[in-house]
Amino acid sequence: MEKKIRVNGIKMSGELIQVNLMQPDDPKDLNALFLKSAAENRINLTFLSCTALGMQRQMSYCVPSADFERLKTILAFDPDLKKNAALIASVGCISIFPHAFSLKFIGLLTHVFHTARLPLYGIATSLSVVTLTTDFRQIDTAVTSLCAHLKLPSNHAPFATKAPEIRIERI
Amino acid sequence: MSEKKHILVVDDDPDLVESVSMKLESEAYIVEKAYDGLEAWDKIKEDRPDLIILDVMMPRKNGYELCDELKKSETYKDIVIVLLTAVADAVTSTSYTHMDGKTTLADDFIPKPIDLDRLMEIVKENLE
Repeated sequence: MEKKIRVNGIKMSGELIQVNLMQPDDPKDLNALFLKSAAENRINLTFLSCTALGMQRQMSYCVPSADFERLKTILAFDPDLKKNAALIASVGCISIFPHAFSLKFIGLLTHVFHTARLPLYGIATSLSVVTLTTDFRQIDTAVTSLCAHLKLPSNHAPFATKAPEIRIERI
Repeated sequence: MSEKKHILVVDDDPDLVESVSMKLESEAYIVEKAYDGLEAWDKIKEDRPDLIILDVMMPRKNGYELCDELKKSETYKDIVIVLLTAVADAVTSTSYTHMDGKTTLADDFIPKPIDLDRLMEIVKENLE
């Protein structure tokens, strides 16, 4: 029988929009432009990750779906931003912790997604957390599939929580 | 040689829990972790800590509620509680402030982002 991997918790985000921004080979820093515009428009970044292969670099930004209109305004503002940005509507983040620096654990997560035929739009780790982005409509299926292989504490924190939101109104 | 002290770190940010725990373990403390107030209560009942590093803003049961319950409990009132307060003066759309941290029954408080060296000083001062 397969032994379950012990984790301390899982967190699910709300509905997000993922912006994949390719950095072209020119001096204009599109990521700096995007981040400046996001700050000016008070758009919170729920999750961001960077994918690099050689000189190619892609940043992925996940923002709340409620900010979709403001996001479109930002991307329309600059032709280079519009040309190099790809949007994935309705994604969700699943964060699992701790990963304990285990490659086996990362392998299990990708295997579960593959077996359940779930899209995997991004994966990244921090000090203790591994976060995956997938289709928001399938996020419950993803968590159920993962839980079949994970052992959680009996009184773990709920997966989906409404964290107190702080929006800085003046900078 | 003195007995190793037990510390419970409670925060809904797993990376913060991990970084604080690593620092405490490097200073030879025994560390338990919890990710919200209710989970923390279970850990406290299982293995009573000497000190709790407790975040304020958490789901299910926030740090103020847990702090007040512990300090009003005959069994647990002697546990040292250090509150982590996350909200800076620049944030106007919330009722949490640093002053709230000072006016609870907590023994000490430290603002976020955490200065780990200062936190270690607070822990040592309160466990002496």
